Amino acid sequence: MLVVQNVNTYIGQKRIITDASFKINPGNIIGLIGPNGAGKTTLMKTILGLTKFNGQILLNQTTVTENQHAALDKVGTLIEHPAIYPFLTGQQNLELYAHDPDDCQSLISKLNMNTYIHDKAKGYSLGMKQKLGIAIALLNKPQLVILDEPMNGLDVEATIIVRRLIHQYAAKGTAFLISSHILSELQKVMNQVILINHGHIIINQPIAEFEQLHHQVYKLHTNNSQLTVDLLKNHHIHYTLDGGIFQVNPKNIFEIQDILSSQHVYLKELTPISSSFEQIVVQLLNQQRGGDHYDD
Amino acid sequence: MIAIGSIFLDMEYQNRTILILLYKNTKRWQIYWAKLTVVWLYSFVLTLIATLFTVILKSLLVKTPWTALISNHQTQLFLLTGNIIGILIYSLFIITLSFMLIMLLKINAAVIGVGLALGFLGAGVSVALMRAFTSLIPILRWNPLNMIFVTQQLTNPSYATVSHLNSLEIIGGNLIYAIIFVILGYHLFKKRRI
Repeated sequence: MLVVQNVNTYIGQKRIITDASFKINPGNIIGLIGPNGAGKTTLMKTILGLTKFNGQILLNQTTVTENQHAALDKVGTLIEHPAIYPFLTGQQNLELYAHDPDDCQSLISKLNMNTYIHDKAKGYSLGMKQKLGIAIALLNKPQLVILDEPMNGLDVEATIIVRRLIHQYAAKGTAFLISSHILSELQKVMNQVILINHGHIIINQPIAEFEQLHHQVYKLHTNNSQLTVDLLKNHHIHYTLDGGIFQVNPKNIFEIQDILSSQHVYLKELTPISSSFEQIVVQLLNQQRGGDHYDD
Repeated sequence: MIAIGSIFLDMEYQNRTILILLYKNTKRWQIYWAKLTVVWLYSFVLTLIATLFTVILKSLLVKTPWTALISNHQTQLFLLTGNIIGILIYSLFIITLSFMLIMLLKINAAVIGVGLALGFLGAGVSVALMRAFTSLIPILRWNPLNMIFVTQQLTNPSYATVSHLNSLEIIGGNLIYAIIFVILGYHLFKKRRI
């Protein structure tokens, strides 16, 4: 449905996104993850044709450019802050964009906004505004929804409602591109992950594959930590070190054992340990930042 | 009108609603043009209300007929019509200017400040400049501060000696400035980062 191919985005003369390529199919829920300033919001704005870019963006086989937005008719979005006129009521804000009053009413009910939807939006709390912003993005049965930090300001109940809505819409074929710093929340909804750093997409995988490939690290404890550090560095093997305990990548464990035994360094412990999603992301970002460097 | 014009466009950026307007439309000029039109129509409606109020007050308080000659041997009807036309033409100048300024300065208060300066000091500065540099009058008479005289000159042609522009020239000047402000303002609008 959405194809992003070799996209480079520029702000002024500065390149913010470099050679981004990925696809989103109907029903996909893509989690867009990356540190502050990685280019997540810029990438979202690029898909919406709001920035200068080269490369190709196709939505349902129709090209999207800075001056061609016809394909974006069936796209809903919430980027940075909810787009709301404060002097209008929540209902009036929705009616500005709604094609079908029943769809509008159904969203109001599903998001539990009935009690305040006829009040002026300037009196809304952050969470109420956020829910209204999400409702605007979900209006008119969109094919693609782009949400930037959708859980901002939402209480637990609202978070669960929004999560359920995302699943319901995805089941009907709506694709989602969602960025969030609350990884645990994102993990509950996404079925594909895109990890971006410094404008480069470094991971683009289905979540199951991602967890399988990156979920495990090995804990390593030897009888000579200093010599182990030197040997790992000499062989350009990535590791982290905390209080004499190393964490190494599963793909390197046989090589490490060979290297250590050849230098008469003996293993006290070599055991697999599971990492949380957050730890995996941090580890991947560290690896990408450091290249072949090491984190002590 | 300068405050309303600038707030009307700036609020879209403050409330982030510009993002939806822009990505749902391919033609940015349509957004800019639509906003300009709405503000000018608002000014038109305000002028109509003021005119209606004038007619009511006149019928209640001044019993002379509309065809009666008053100032400069002109009828009351002619003076009223001239005033309305002058205000509507100058509102084009001021609204297009406010749109351009808010795109340039991005700060409402600054645009309103410029508007107040234009309203209260513009004409005086323009006249002072032409008095100080008489040899440059053929050029200085086209300065934008001079355009405000259109609001008075259409009903009182003697103002031509102050503005150094005849009625046709001052109307043309206002319209040309409005076109220039629209072109510059739209260019800035197109380039502004979201």
